[in-house]
Amino acid sequence: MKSLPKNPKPHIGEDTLPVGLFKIDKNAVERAVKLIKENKHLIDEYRKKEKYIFE
Amino acid sequence: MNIEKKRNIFLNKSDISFLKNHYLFLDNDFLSMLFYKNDFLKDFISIFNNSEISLLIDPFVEFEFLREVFLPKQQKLKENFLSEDFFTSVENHQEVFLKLQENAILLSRIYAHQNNNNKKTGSSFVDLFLAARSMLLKNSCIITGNKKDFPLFVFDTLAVLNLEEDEGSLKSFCVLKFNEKKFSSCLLKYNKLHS
Repeated sequence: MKSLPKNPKPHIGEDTLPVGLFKIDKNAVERAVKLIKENKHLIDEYRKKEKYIFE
Repeated sequence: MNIEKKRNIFLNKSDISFLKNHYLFLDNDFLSMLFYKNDFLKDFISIFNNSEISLLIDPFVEFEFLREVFLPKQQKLKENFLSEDFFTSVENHQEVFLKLQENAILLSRIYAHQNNNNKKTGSSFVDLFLAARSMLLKNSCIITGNKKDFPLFVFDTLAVLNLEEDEGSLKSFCVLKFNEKKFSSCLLKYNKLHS
């Protein structure tokens, strides 16, 4: 088993992601907004139970 | 007469072009706000879309967002929301995890040192790994409502987004960026303890 390294080294800016991720699909946003609106009752009900997130 | 309540979003910068081609990691509180608040998602995208940012979900944030959901309908709803194309998931394999682990342990030591080991100011496991992820990925930022979990001695505040709620209160979210110079300076001070 590999445990935590004794002398950890920082890894800064080593990772990159593929280009082309910077265009947000407006149709997907509309879809998500519709999803939220159509299920508002479920979301509101759940939010009451998850109130701690916003406190 | 019914007066439609309109949600307002205020950004402290008129020009956010400095965020162009940046990756924006969403903290769980912000992601939850997008999910719970009608139209906030649309308003947020309309403000930030011209900057050509990418919205990233860290696996630990995804875990936090989905945990403790026991009703199948609600679980499905959250999963469907996360599966939309405008969210991008990031890699979650062993090689990356080991690097994140090293970053996270270093950050936790720096936080403890800078905060004089005050346990009340410590960050959670998920926040440490989110910070570690932002360190690792070039051109990335974090948007969060809990600025104190990403302290000023390591992070810079680039922008503040205020959301006006129906009852008139304001909820603030900050766009934060890891600062390598600040981090190195803190690490140097920490390492002096051992020399």
